[in-house]
Amino acid sequence: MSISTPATNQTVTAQERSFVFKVFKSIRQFPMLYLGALIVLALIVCAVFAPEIAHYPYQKQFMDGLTQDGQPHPPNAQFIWGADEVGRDVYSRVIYGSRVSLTVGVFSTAISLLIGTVLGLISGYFGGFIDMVIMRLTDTVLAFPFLIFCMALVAILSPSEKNVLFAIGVLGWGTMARVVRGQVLAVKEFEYVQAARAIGASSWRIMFVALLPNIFGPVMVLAALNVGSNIILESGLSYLGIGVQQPVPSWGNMIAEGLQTYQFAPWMLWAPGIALVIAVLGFNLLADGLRDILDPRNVTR
Amino acid sequence: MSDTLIEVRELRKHFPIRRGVLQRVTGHVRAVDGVGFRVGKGETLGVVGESGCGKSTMGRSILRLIEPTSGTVEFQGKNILNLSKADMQLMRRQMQIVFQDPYASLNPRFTVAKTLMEPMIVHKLHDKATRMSRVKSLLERVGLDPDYAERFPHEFSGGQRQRIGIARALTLNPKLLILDEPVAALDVSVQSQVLNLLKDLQDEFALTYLFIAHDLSVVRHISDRVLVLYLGRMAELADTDSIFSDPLHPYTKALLSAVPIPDPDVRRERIILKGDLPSPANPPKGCPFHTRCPVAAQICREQVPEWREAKQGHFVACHLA
Repeated sequence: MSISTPATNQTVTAQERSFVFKVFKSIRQFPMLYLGALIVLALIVCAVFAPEIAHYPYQKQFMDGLTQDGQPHPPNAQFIWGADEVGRDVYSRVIYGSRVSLTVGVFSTAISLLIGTVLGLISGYFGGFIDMVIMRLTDTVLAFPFLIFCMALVAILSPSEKNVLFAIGVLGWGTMARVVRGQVLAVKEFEYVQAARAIGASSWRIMFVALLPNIFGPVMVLAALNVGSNIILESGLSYLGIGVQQPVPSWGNMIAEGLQTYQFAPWMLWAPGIALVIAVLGFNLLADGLRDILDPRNVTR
Repeated sequence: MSDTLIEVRELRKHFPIRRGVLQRVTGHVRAVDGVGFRVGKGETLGVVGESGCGKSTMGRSILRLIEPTSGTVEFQGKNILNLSKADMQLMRRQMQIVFQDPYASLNPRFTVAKTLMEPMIVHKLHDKATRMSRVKSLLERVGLDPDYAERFPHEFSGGQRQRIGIARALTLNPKLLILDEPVAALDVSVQSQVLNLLKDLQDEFALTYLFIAHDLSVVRHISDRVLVLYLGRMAELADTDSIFSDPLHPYTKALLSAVPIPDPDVRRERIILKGDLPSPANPPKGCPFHTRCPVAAQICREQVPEWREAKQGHFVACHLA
């Protein structure tokens, strides 16, 4: 008996360590993270394989997309989410719209992340006068109403997807810089930072090798949230007509069109609207899950 | 005394107190105020004093982790306080520090191997394979399994972490180690293990220690000489034996009377100090200790006692000793 028991235990542990078991355990531990990741993954697939997933090219107009009296055609077998007021397939346009949303969301966040992290690190680590200058600059950037600030910049640069992306990224680093600075202030008091100085590490090395990995968790969470809000912002700009221009579809300009025809063709509003909600929700869930998982103390071996 | 390794003279660190909108300096906290001593090669100098007396600030000023306000620190005859950045970088190989809190002193994102390799990377020493073998031998030397190299700090106990901290300090083969309360955060049983490790390492690598502590029995165990600090100033400095058998400064006497004796039959007169440590921003006139001194006389309130050699090798700053 006493000999056979450890043997059974061993088979159980071997099973426990199998890959599939680990994945299931992890999904059960962080279900929201996986749901968020799944949505984001689906969004990426839509954007990358849009020509394969969409039924028609986004700009193609169909004669039978309009009803006899010239109204947008409601959903049927040919147009599964209906057609818009010039006879284009809404489903195909929503799929193509994910390209704009994802590109703008991710790359504008990357720009803000870069600017915000570098400025926040310098500000928090050096402190004093440098800190004051950078933080007053941050206050200034944050003091402007963001959407109007972006509108002004895009108006100067001429409306296009690239300029929207650039404007959101270059103006949106304020919160990022503040969060990074706050994290640096908390982390730099730890003695391992002193230890790094004692061995003669340079300030840059301390900032980017010792400090950065330790503040990465909250920063990544904020970045994921930021992708979501930047997607909304892009839609907002496109809705106002200074973002992505027709006939290129963006969820924002589709919602703008849909609002005008909401009385008789609600699918034109619902399809891009729901897509937007799901995409933003996906990034927010991902952000929330990342916060749990990015702490090494939470990882069970 | 053997050859001097490090000599500190008139070391001061005054932190400015800033007030108001214009951030004007309205005063100074005199954390370290004119401390001077020498430590011989292979010697252990214990530094004791209560919280806030400037022990840690002193240790960090010597390493220039905090820039001292004035004074000199000579390491093998060279003043390190006016070294250029590049020279200071080389000097850092000679002197390292072990911190008090083993939980805060290791980067939680670095594996043990990364923590121990970092000094070698910063100083561009050795290639990758040599670094790794050095990491393993260091781990072995401080009593840890070399296979732990790929683990993270949170997987270790306090005592094990402190051993990693000691190994990190040894990576660059320093001559001087500043031990900033290295055992204060550990269990008593682990304390003695770490202390014995420190003693063994001292013999093996001919290390010189500046051992900062508030626990007198620990200091007695490891030190050759003891320096007592009070309010950033030196109160007494002597051989460990003379300090413990024949303390001259009333503050030292009070400290010693607080050490528990592991014998229930021994009764001893305890000297209880009244009041709190005065603020180092506004130290008392005369002797800094007179506000709490049980034997203070009129002269103590008026004149700062000079630092004098009361007996052979036994220095004290007290009018009455």
